[in-house]
Amino acid sequence: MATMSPAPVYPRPSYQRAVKLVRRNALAYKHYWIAFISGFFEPVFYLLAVGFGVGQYVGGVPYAGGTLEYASFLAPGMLAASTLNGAVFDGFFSPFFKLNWLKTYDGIITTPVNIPDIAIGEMMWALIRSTIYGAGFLIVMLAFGLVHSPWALLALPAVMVSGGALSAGAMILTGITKEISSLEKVMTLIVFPLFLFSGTFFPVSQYPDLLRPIVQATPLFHSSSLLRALTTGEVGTQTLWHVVYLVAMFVVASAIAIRLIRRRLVS
Amino acid sequence: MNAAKVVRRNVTVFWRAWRFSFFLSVLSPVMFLSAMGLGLGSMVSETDAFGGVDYVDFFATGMLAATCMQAGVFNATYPIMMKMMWQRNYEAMLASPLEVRDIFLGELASIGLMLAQVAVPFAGVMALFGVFDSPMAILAIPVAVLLGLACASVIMAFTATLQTDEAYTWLFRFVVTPLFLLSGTFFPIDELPLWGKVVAQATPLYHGVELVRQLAIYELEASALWHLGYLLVMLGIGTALGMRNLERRLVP
Amino acid sequence: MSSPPGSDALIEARSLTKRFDQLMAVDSVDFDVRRGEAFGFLGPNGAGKTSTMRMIGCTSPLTAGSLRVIGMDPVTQSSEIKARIGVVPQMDNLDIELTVRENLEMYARYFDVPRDIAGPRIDELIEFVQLTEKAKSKVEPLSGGMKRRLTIARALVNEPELLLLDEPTTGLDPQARHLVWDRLYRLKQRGVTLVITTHYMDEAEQLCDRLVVMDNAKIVTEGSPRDLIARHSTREVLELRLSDDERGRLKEWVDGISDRVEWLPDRVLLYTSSGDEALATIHERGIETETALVRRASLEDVFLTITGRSLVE
Repeated sequence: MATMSPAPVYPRPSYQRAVKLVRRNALAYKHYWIAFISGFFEPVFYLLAVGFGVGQYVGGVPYAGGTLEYASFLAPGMLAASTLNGAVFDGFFSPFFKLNWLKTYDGIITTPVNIPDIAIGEMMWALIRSTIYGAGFLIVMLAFGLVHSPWALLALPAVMVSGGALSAGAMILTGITKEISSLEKVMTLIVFPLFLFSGTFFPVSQYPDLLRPIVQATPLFHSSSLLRALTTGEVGTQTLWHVVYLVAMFVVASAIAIRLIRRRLVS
Repeated sequence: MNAAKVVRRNVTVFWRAWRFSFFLSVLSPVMFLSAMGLGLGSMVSETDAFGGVDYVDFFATGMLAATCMQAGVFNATYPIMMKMMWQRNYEAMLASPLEVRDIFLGELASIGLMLAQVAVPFAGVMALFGVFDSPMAILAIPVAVLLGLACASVIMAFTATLQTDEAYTWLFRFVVTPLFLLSGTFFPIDELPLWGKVVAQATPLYHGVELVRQLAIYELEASALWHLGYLLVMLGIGTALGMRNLERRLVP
Repeated sequence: MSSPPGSDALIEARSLTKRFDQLMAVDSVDFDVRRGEAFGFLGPNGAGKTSTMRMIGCTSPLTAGSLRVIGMDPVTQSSEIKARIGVVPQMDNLDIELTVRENLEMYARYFDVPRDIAGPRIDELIEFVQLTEKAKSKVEPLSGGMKRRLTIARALVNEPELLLLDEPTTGLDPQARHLVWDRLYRLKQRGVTLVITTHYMDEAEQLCDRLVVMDNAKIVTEGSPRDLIARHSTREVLELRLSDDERGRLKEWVDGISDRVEWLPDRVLLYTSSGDEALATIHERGIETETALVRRASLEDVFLTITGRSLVE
């Protein structure tokens, strides 16, 4: 019998149940497919405007002891950014509205699907969206001749690792935001700086010494560095560190996210 | 004038969120100018294409205009639709002596105030980045606001005809974002293929950007009048169309 | 109170308690719900009804006490319990990104209802709640009554043994209410156990075999609607509206003609075995009434008697 429970033992999350959230989202996006594909184009536009437009006037980017044509430098950065986009849309925006406005989860938790299942399911879906964006962007890169090494075959799994880490991070944001004004704050204070300053548009060597370690601590730095190593073929032991960082972030952030979402949904 | 009352209501609501939003409107340009202007700009080796100025000057002036365009467009979409359909504020306003015209002009004026609140700190940041070297540059602020208003008026006219917000996804992703990136903000449109150049020259952002640049970093030319004329005419048409559409919508 | 082992109690609560920081929402309540009955929680807003329902529905952990639902522990066996119950929450939380039919299909999946069974069952449910024409519509444009009916259909998609209904008809127009009541009555006929919270006495009288009255986080009385009225009220009630002067005159000698009097701001209620007789006596004494109504005593009167306040403020 359930008596006085100081630390209740929750049922273990089940992937079978979590997958139901993925199916739910797939069903919902049948009605919102424009919204689904539209997020993909933003990094592509940036690649065109900045990579090719501004890139013409950039002599070459110092990279791995040599120089790299600017578009080839920027493209993996934008590839990382496209996984960030997928993660933010479906790890943050969409769950934010379902949690705070639509009350979708309040209904779902009355079924055998439990709170951790929901958090895991949403992260899985965000990862899927990130991966779809990343895969699409890789095709764009191939079409523009911006892939320079067979290592790029590993870019797709790398995109998934990046998408997973960023989705889990986005889910933490879902767990700690309530007000509609938080959306703008998260975008301006977190997403936008990540997008601009993670070694995406220009190499970290351009930063003053003081700022460099800060940039090197951000997830998108590791994501863009990893993807750049793979698409240019400049793979080394450092590359492995990026993977370790992203996997560790995924594990830690998803554990925290599940806890935060539970706190928000338990009444 | 009754439109002033609509402005007043919006100012009251806006004031509460003002302080933080001011911080954000300073932070955004600082970040954008540091990343693109300084970070990327330091790698730009040829400046001939940018009229002999530093890339950061070229980019910052383009961004000032582009930011006002985006803010103008955004504020003419969801916030207006919310008051028109979801919260039904306009219905309540029309039950008072206010007319549809007052509502439209009041909203447009509120957007103008909001745009000033974006443009002024932006220009301040630009000054700190050493972009300006002539006092004429201060005129870039009203020009950027005019650009935002011209876009807002046309988009409000569009909003007045909508039944759902679905069209906005298209508008932002496939109109505003490409416009933002490809209308001479990041790089000179001379670089585009001919058809791209023709399209870019037809957009309001191009004219706004050109005018801002002539005032702030280049020499003023006769073409300035043509750019200014474009924006004024657009604002005029947008306002006339907007008042008509909103009238049809609210008083069917 | 305690049921013997193997009894037919579907829900057993002992000293069930829920506390939110400072607020005591449910204060050590005991109750049993038997299989097949319609059991009600009657009480004003904030009495603790919804908190109790949430604990039964396994979406809110208990602070203290014990609770068994279908013989299981709601904390450790939440998925198993939830698989066998249906929940109609106070506020509709339909999935507005999906259509009417998709809402039911998705919930069937959450409940692991096999596809070949789910299809025909969903058709049946849509018909049962009279939404056939709206099956392909999105949820948002539906009326309040339609949304409520869809929520009820959603709660039935797993063919639950136990249906939890938190204020099923609050905010509905009279027609929609009667339709909902009718559907609930039919479910009860089929053997579904219903647990209903309400602050409408007519709803409780219509639907519940047995109910508990809650006030300030505690259960103040329990029994069948008829029992409760017999125990706590008279057979009839005379409701009077009077001017202030007449009110004063009535006050002087009213004790003789009724068992008990409630002086409400807008009305005076006289509890008596015969309302007509009492009214005749009042008129004999020359007191002028603006309106006078004789009615049978209701649960509202029970609540008023026990707590001194009316149910719906």
